[in-house]
Amino acid sequence: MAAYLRHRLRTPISEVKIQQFPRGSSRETWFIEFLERPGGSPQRLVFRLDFSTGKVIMSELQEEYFIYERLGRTDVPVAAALWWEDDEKWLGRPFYVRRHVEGDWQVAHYRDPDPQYDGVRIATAKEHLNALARVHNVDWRALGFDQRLPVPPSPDRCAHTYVSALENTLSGYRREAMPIFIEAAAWLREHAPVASRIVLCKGTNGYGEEIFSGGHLVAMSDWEEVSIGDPAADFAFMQDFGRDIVRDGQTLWGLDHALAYYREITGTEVAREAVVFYQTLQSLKALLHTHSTAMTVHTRPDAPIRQAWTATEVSHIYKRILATALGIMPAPPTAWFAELNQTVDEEAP
Amino acid sequence: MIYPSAIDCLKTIESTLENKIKPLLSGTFERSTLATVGHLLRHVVCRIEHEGDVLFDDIQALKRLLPEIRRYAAQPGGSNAVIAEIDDVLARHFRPPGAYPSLTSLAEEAGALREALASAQTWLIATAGERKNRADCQHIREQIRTYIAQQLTGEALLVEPAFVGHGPRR
Repeated sequence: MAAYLRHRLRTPISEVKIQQFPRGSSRETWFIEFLERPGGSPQRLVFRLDFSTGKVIMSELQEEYFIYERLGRTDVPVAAALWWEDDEKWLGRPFYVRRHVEGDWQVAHYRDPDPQYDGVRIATAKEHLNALARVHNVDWRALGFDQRLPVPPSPDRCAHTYVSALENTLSGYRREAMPIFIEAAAWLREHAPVASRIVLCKGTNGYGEEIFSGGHLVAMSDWEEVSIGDPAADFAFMQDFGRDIVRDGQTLWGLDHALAYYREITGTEVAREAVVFYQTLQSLKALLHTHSTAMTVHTRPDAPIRQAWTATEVSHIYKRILATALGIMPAPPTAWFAELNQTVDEEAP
Repeated sequence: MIYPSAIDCLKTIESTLENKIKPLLSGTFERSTLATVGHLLRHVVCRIEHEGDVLFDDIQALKRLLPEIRRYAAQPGGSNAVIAEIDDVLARHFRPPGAYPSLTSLAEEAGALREALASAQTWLIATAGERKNRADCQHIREQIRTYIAQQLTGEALLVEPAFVGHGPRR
């Protein structure tokens, strides 16, 4: 790594520290810290690359770099994309580098159940919605996103465009027939809502996907599932920030509050029903990703072990969610979802 | 039976990792990896216990469903391609007569039958608009959905007891 940095930055490099980000199942993220001169302040970069066993998600790494680079020209808070590296001699595969943003995906006391921190939870959710509104306001045509992503021809075809894109992607690597996928895709087309606007959607977003510092959102991260379509899609895949906060029978915050706040700051109405619809559609997409992961684990014994989990339990729960939407199975218990989001660093010692 | 059984061995491995190795790990990445290993070991136990039964039942369910779809596809305006694919897969032999049905051959058979179902589904959905008010069309799609629920219930036996209620996955 030191040799690469010396080569790239054309400066002496010392005291290189490398740390892999433990979260994230879509790609590898490495934090690199180093000194450009003895006694200087540490420089921090983020290296992003596909797993050595191949990519899990449907978008290309270079597309992710493109998204960071283009969003760097807008008011959306993102880490600056620095360069793309094609030469595989350094890390065995292409990668890109972005500037490290100081902060953390965790917000102090956000998960503390004490009601005194409800204000922290609500303020953090609003902070995120402000940033999401900026994403939705991006002029995606001017930035060339329409050259890279499927574009719905009209607001009533947003969901159809999304489903067709998923089917096309799956056909490229499908190993076995998935009757639930076919049936759910048909159900989604039959129940597609009309979008209030056609916007740039972030895809995976919310708590765990963005970087905060001092209670403020300083960078939006994880852009690998970006699309052009219905803003309701982003509310559907928003982690945690639409979750109900109920005290003494009164709902202080929840999805309806989030939608009302979004309407207040953007003037755009997003229907709760559309959000619920896109939650189902996101499950179809997630099932597609887990199938890709299953193929990696099937063919590569050196696949990261987390991919084996993604290909088993995660795949299964998305099938269960789709079956619930079809009305053929009961919904998985909510405690199961809560458990899926837990990590060992949140576990009691 | 060879004692300890494969399941006994896996449970011993899981216990060793949990009680002897986990306390030695301090890094988040290492503890996260070990957590995933524990879940997957339990998943393998479930598969040893149930996968053969689950695949066997799935094959029987598909062998009941596909002839129903074939009858529907044989009606006027039906699909010769769907009929041919179903006939072909139902006539295939996935192991020599009398041979032990290995997991691999059961999986191959279930997979082939499901491929025929997928082709039939695609045809049914493509033509559903013009036939949506026909009781027989609704009935066959209902049968397919019932099969899907049954298949996922079988899959749940291999997955849910291994993960649910056993703590962080990562």
